[in-house]
Amino acid sequence: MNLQQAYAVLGLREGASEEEIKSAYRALAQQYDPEQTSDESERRRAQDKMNELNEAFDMLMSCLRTGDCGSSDGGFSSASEQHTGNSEQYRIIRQMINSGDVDNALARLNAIPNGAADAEWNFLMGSAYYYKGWLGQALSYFQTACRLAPGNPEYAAALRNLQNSANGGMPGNPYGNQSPYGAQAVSCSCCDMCMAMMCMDACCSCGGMGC
Amino acid sequence: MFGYVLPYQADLKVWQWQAYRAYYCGLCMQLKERYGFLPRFVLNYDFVFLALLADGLSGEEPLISSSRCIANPIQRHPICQVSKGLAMAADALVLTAYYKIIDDVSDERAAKRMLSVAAQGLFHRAQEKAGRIFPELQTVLRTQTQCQANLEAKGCADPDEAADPTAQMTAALFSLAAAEPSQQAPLRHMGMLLGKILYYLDAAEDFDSDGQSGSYNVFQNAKLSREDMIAQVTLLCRMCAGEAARRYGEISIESPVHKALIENILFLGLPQSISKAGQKRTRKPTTHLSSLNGKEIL
Repeated sequence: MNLQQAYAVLGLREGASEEEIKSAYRALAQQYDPEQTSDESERRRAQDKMNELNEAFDMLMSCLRTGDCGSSDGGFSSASEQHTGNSEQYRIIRQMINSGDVDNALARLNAIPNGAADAEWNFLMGSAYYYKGWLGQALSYFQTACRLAPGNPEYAAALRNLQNSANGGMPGNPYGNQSPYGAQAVSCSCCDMCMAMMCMDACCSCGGMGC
Repeated sequence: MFGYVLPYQADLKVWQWQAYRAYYCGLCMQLKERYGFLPRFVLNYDFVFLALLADGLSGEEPLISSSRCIANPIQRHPICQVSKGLAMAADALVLTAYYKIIDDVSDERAAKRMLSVAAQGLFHRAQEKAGRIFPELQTVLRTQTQCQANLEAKGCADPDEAADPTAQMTAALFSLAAAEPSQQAPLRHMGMLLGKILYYLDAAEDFDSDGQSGSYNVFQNAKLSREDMIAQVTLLCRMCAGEAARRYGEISIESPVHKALIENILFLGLPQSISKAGQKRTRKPTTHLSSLNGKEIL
């Protein structure tokens, strides 16, 4: 899947903003929830569609994070989930990460007192390390971010992206998952995770939409 | 240097395997033509991948001739003639090997250190020549070798940090493969991630011997058991491989031969190397036919 296709899957024009991507994903994910139907073939089709949606969403979020998807509004908008006094700081740091200035972004993040308690701080630490290629660090910060803000689809997408690779998935693998050393557990773990997110979202609307 | 970036032979067609061999022999020939007899001993598979990548991106297809060589003087076999990618890989390999030797001199104990010092002397002229061709690469290799030594001296126990100097070196190596400026960024990133995989697999393989001899090993410093070490190495390598594959998706290779070989190496060979993390590569396993299941006996 390339970027144009990813936008098309979510029914968006190219260069759509972060908020547009998120809300399109939420709407479509609810529409194609495989749990809604009991018919086996119907369910499989829904599952395929969900996989496609997840891939598109992961791809767009990943390129917003690394800042090289040619999005017209320059990647991230401000952190809407953030209500602490640090949101302006975080906005600047996001821009630094988008423009590739990772080491300065990390220095600024480390200078924020008590930042580790914020989900956004953990997410930005993870993003900076992700960009730098320090994926072990990135993984643990994304995990913390998701633990602190379980309903946030952006954090969940970042974590799912890395977990997918950790399970042996390789984006664009022409051999699919059939190869002897390819992904074995991918479809289950990332979908479980995603399903859990969506169920939470649907049941108690605590996923960043209600509150 | 490491030799973990290998093709998955079982899935190659015979002509693809021959093309790969021709590239491997071609790199060896380039080493001989450019640097004489000795540097040929550092020949390694990782740089064949680099040559394939460079030629695949520039669209250059080297001629293949049938010749004899010193390793197999009786039978003629196909060998690639010079291409830009092969020449670049040979120069880069000589430089990298030289700095690897310098690193060994500071790492190893008495007997092996003597050997390394000797090798350093023999390589000196070759690396001076290669350094004139790629001065930026030489600078990166020199500074990062120093960084590596500093990290080891302070007993670094963070795998991300410990692998960074190697990653910076391979990033610089891979950027040499770019045919257009727009390919620089994805190639650099891909090289960086592959370099980390090489570092982790190397550290995993040396885990036991480093533990016994007291040499630096990041996973020993992290106080991991052997099992935990393997789990950690597999996790880190798979994440790097996944991200490298993502960056690979940003460049496109037209030539079908190069594309087939590169994708075989990246999507099959590399996961195979990762699945063997921590095993000594020289040991030949025995197995029953029925347990093969598409996996390769090496």
